[in-house]
Amino acid sequence: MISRRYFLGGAVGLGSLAVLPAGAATRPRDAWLAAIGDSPAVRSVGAACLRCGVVEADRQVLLRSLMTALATLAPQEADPAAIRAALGALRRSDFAAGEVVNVDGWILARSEARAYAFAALSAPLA
Amino acid sequence: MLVDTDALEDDSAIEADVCIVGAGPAGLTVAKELAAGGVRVAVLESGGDGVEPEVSALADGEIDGIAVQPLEATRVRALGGTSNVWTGQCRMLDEEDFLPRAWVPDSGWPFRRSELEPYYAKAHRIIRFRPVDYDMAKWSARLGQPCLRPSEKIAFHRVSLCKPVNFWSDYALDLKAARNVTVVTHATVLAIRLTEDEGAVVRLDVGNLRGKRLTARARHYVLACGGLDNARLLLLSDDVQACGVGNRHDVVGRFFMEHPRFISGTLLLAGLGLPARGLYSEYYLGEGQAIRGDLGIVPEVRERERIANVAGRLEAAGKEEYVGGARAAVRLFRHLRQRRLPHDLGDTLWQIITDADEVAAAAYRRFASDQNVSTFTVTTLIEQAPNRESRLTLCERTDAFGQRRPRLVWRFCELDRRTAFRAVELLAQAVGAADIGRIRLEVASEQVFPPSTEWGHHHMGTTRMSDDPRTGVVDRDAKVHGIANLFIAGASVFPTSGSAPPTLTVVALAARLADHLRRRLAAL
Repeated sequence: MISRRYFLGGAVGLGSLAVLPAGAATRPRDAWLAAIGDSPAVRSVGAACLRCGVVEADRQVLLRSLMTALATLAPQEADPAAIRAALGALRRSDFAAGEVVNVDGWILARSEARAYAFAALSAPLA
Repeated sequence: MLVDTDALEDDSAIEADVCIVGAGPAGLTVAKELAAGGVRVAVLESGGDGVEPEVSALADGEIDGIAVQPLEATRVRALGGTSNVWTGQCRMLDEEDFLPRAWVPDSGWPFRRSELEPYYAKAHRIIRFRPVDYDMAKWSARLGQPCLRPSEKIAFHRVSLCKPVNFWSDYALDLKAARNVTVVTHATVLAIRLTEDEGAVVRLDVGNLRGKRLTARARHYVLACGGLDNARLLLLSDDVQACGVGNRHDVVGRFFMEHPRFISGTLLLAGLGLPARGLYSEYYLGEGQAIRGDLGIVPEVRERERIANVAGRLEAAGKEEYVGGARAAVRLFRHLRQRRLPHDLGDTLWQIITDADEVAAAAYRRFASDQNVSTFTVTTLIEQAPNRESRLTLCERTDAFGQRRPRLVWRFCELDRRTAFRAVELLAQAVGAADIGRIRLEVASEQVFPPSTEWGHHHMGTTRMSDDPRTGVVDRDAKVHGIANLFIAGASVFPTSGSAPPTLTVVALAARLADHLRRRLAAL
């Protein structure tokens, strides 16, 4: 069960709540992880998404799905802020289109569930 | 003039141009409107001035289905009717509520909302709410209170105007002073008697619990005794028409609808949250007035999703429910705001005193902790779809008059279940698409209705309106099909219920019926 505290802690991409780490990431994987949020809260929500089976349980597949969905983003984009903004637009678009999943009762956009699952399956940032 | 049956001779006859059965919001509105036009009116009320247990017991019956409360607890047989306990929430039905919807069987009124709008205006004047404004953005700007901005493609705001009016104590002086109005208390109508050709009502048989029997004769008769008793009285009057008056097509009592509501989700807001006592609670405006904002699902989405109408209410978590003494305290507080006392003041005070700890805790939650909060409980109120199998019949048990008691078979259909579940999912999409927050569902699709289900004491549909006598009991003028001089006022004529509290529409329809009766009387 995802705790309410983790949602309040900024896990669920509630826009302004999450804070990007200082400095740009150097690798695409790090950039994506920095954009999604590399925190216990994010990983906890991601683990719940994986446990509920609502997203693919493969880090590469998840990242590819997200990159494919973000057609407006350059393939090698490494700026976490740009990725984050694009993910936000995708998340809102998913909600509006009904592309949602149910994770322990919480209704999440499919893309954000993928993003958190990706974070849960990734090694922490150095 | 106010008179009790005890003061009348046994077997005496009450005579008037229009005889109204029931002194609740519907009946008293018809009476008040007709009285202003000089029409002789008699209002027959089963109870007196205040609740009496032996009279209330006449409304008791059986429930087959979700038995939330005993039937008698959902009615008030007394002058003022249910306005004695009304919380005063007013909202017009949506325009779409009047239209036939392909995915809602038996939906649609015989007319559009535009037909009712002049009477809604009159109803607002009767309620005396000012200013009449249903625009959430305007209230937000006017009061400097924040409101949510959910995705407009999915959800929109509705505003309810809240002003509890007691239709008896507020109109009593007018009606008591009117020479052309006689309000008769402890006058329970026992039967509607028809002419031999079954085409008209010839008289009403009336009694009181002390054995007195009278009759009432008029040119026109209006049943206005509530969504259950309107149908029950037609069914009980089966001496000439075997299935009951106006029931040739077996429609009387069918299509019973309520406004089931239940906790459907938890809203977790991003950012700074909202004031706990903001626009989504009852926001007090002064002079006994308040407003409350709800969320609805836009009509195009409801059509696409094939669901009925809904209202999503938000309450700051921990403040959503008052029970026992706290509920009594809230009711007393509402009365005091109106500079009135409840009719059952002794019982109310006793409940408050014996439940003082809960009252104190609720008062603290309500008044001492008015900070912004991030967690809100989502309560969904759904429009129950018209359903022939959801119905009122008569059971074998009898009341103190020897009359068969009502038996309510309250049934839900697949559309109701789909509406209950999808509505909160759609609200979750609406808040997610706007990055406002997230909603956690508290309902599961396989549940019929969650254990938290309550009803709104809104009894609707049992004498529904339709131009076709095979699908309705009354026509567009609220006249019973096939009976020349029998009319019905109240929520029992609603063919569909929308998600709005019904009283404002009941009052508007009653004002419209009064206009119609005045025209008919003038033509005689």
